[in-house]
Amino acid sequence: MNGQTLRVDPSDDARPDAAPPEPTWPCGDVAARRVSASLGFDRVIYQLLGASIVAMAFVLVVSFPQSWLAVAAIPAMVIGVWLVVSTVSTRAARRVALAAGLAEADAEAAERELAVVFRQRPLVAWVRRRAFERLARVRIQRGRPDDAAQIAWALLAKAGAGPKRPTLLLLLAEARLSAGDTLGAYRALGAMPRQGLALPDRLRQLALEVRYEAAIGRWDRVAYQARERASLAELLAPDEAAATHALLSEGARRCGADDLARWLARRAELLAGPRPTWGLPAGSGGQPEPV
Amino acid sequence: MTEAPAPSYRPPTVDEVERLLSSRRPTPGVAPWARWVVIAGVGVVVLSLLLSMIDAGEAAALLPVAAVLIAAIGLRLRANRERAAHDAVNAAHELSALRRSREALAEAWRLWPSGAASPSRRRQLLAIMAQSLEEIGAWEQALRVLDELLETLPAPSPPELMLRLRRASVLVWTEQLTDVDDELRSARPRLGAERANLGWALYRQAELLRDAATGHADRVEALGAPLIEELRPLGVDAAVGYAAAAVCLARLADADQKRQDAPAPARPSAMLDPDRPAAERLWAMARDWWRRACDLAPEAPLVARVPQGDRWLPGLASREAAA
Repeated sequence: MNGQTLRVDPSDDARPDAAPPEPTWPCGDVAARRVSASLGFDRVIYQLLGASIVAMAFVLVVSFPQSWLAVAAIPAMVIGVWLVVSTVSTRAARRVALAAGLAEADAEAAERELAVVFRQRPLVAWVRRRAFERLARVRIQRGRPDDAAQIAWALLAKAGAGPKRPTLLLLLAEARLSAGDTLGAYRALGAMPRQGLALPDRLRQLALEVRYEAAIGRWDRVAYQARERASLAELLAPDEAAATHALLSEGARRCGADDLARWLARRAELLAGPRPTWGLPAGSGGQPEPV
Repeated sequence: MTEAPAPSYRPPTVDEVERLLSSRRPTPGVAPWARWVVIAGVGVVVLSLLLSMIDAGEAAALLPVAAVLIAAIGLRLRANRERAAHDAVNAAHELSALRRSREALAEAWRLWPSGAASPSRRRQLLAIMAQSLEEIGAWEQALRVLDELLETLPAPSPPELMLRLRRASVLVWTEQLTDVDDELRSARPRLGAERANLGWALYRQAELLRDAATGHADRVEALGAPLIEELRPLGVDAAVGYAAAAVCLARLADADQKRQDAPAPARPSAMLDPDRPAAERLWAMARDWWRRACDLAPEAPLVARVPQGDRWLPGLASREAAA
């Protein structure tokens, strides 16, 4: 745009320097601390609930050893707590799913939905974790990848070596790459396990590895096994599949495999339509030929 | 994209599929395990009350605690079993996504007895089986599984519409062409005006497959580049549609060429339309579509996925080489 801002909304004229609306959940370090505190707080609530049930059961049994009240109250308390937690968590999980659906079209609305989830307690742990993961993705979309990295980092610290670790590492790598921090992305990708990944994680890993290799200019690595990588990349969502194909094509072109490059570029265009730059690094000049 | 069946491989027969599907039916209402949990819970509470009435001492007080503990352990074990079953179905789904159709089918077949009682898992397994059978080219069997899958979906609904359109494509292979027309005609009003979606893509693909099978391909030559846009939502599976377009155009070109080569009195005047592309141009268009198809998917399985593909598509490739 030659340095000029394209104005499409008349209200922009009234507020020429209007900043984008602030996210509803804190940013930066504060976000990471709040993620940690929130997950920790949930754990404390659960421990308190468990302890109070045990204490009340003890009091009831000791105080009214022969009473039907004592007998009936213990299961009733357990079932009651379970019902409350399940109901609140189910509603929250629906909101997270709604936010995921909204994210593509309206990231701000998605974040508002997630803000409601963050206020709800008590939640089962996986629902809150999923909400934070979604928030990190929304932040990447809104151009705040540093926030996303902070959130992913905080979630990783809580997840330890659990089964969610690969997904969170990929989220961290994506955030780092989007922020232009290739070293951070390298560390996150390097910590990924090589075996036993679920297919969605393998696909994300492939897309991010190709992006990372292109970002650091290792086109020989991008072109390595490009055909095999393309056959896996075709399972990604169309835009991401096309972007990955375009990078593989550029890698092949730079390594002198012109036929392979042309084939990959044609696939990219068939999968997602023509794009002016395909998100290639500046100056790469890779343009697919028309299909 | 698709798996060419090896000579030694024999897909299950329609009867075997039928027997498998009818061997397990989804459990209506509350699952048996949930019923037993409720019955056991009520039983324990009633027993505890009785014990407290007859002054049974500590036993009455401890019984509900023990019951809650046992229920918690039982639910935990149940959750673990559910997670294992979920992981197994996911693994089969991954095989199917990676086009390892025979393995995916075998895995879904193996999981059926334990998984088919749960409605959601039943749907997943049926979807995997249908996809795998289509890839293998076991069309009758795929049709049977698609019919079973259709019964599990609410109608009318978008997933049901998508499935009907997929079914229409399979019907082309079982030569039930009137049913194909009926399916397409009933689906058309439900597709909406916006064309860049999966529904339209499936519709167009089914139409192309039908046209490739019947040879009524006159419309295909007018489709041109918009066909790419229409089939794009299918991802690499659009290759089947492109290959079908190539077959249609090849058949059209061949017919045109035969007419042109025929002695003048044998040519009806209606066939000498000056606006109509010449045979060579039709061949060139067919080659373009075939090249696009081959850009997205390997050649051999594609030939097997398009009616008349074995007759027209390999010839097209050699024609291209000659050109």
